[in-house]
Amino acid sequence: MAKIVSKSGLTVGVNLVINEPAKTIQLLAAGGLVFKEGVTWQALYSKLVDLWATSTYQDSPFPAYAIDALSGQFQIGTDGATFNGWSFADDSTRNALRNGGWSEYSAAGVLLQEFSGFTGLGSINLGAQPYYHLADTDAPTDFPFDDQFNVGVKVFGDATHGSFNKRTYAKTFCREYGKKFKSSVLSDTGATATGANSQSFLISNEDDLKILGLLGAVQATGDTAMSGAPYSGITVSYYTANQSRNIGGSPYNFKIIIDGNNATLEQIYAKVQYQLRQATDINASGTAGAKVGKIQSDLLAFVGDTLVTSQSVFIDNIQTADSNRIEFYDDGNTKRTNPYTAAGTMSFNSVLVGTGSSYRLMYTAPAGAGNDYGESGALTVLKADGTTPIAGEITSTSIGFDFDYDGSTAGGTAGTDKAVTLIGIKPGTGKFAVATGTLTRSKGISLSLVAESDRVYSVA
Amino acid sequence: MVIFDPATRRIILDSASVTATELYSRSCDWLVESDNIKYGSVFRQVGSDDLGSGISIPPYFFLQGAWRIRPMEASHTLTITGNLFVDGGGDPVVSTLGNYNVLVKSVVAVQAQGISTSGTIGPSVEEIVAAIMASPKLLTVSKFIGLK
Repeated sequence: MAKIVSKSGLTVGVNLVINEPAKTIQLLAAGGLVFKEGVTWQALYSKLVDLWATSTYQDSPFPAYAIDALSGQFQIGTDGATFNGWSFADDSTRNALRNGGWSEYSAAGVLLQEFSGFTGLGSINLGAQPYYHLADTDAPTDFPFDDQFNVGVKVFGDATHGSFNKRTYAKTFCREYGKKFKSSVLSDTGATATGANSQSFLISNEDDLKILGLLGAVQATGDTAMSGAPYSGITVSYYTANQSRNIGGSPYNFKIIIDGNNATLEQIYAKVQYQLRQATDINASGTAGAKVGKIQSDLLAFVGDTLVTSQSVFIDNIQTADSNRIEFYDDGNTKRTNPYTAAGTMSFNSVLVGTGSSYRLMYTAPAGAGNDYGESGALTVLKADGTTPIAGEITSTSIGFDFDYDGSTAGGTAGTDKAVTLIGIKPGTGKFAVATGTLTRSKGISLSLVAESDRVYSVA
Repeated sequence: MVIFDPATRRIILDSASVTATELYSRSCDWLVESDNIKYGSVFRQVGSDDLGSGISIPPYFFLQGAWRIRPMEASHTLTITGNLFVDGGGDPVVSTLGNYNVLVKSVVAVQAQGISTSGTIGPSVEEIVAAIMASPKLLTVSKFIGLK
């Protein structure tokens, strides 16, 4: 069944009940009317006009007034000149109305309540459950039906109808597992207030390939994984005061700190998206009080393979290899990125691996005297931390390393490629071996050291 | 105890008899100490490959760069056993610092193969030397270098 958009779809006694003594209008889920699909305000209004064109109803005042169908402005309980007390029989009827907002007046002309016609523009996945709230601290409320919304949301009630007035803010959300999150706030539409009219929100979603690729398409499987490592250690903390974090040697301020638990950026993203679907407090250790996940702003998004944070969001404890595919936006909404940290792998053949072995990565011939490989002042390449030499025992056939490509001046001008020499030996099994290579602006530098078997070495 | 001095590239001996294998092995030990590996290798070693049937190629040792052997500071006869050479040519032994007379005797085998009596383990250098010295069919090469 589709939304009823014509008065011809409404039949008194079948899906429309006009109760003149009680002055109520009721819609019934019958005769082609399905509540989820609903009926447009214009169709209902037109049907009422037709009915009141007959003698049957002319003994009652006309129940509604249409200010403008295009902008969805309607009123009930008034014919535009006088107030008469007509109303809807129940909330099921109200929830079945589409493409419009309305005001409900008492016979005395008092505004009893007001509904804004929230309409989602765009496509969301079948079965998605969008939700909204009318103040930034309010708990989220599901729209009465799943799939894309088009329904009246009560934004005002007088003392006898809830006694609230929330017509200055509205935010709608669609956050589904395996889909990119979408939210739209009233100000996005250019409006400053809701009211008895239609309010459109751009809400659409699409597959989130990062989530689907990492956790699969089954939500239960993905959600269950969140209680295990490394996800369980990934948390979000909201602070009232700025938290200083060092990026590239300079301090910057952030108010939302994610503990990445040394997980990959994809895993961190997955956990944060999970948190933002929760109806519970997700503030792990921050000072900003309870933060219900479902209504918090988006924190992270992937642009290609680069993770981009929202304003004032920082991630602690990320993997070294991920340091250059993340962009932070500080509290002033300025993009901050880590200096480029090159990374790579040193490979050793088996005769070099084991206790008693030794390797060292040297600058081959850096600027200056007496510091070439083989000389007493030979420079060992330091890791990205700037203090740890890339040297030690060969514990595995593959040893990863990183170094500060943009910042290190030890072997020459920062930010330039540098020739290096990798040396290694394991007395007794592997002869001294030398390999040369270049440290480039890359995360995939590969150096390979292959030694001959040592058949001569004598312990004595 | 053999001392390796990277500043002068000298292997400083404290005895009158060493084998090339011993010097090579100690250089390997020295390289893995501290950051000595930054100086690069002291020796290049080839040979010792297994030829099967208990036979292997004798090892050859080539001093690298400016590395040379300096005898102990005393007048004596220094015996170096094994195929010890300088990479690219030259004398592997330099003078003592003091004014001593050192006779250097280099003992190498003419036969280009090692023989393993067990079938799996080749003879030691000492065994090879002993065999050379005992057999009239094997040539002992003695090289005398006059030192100041």
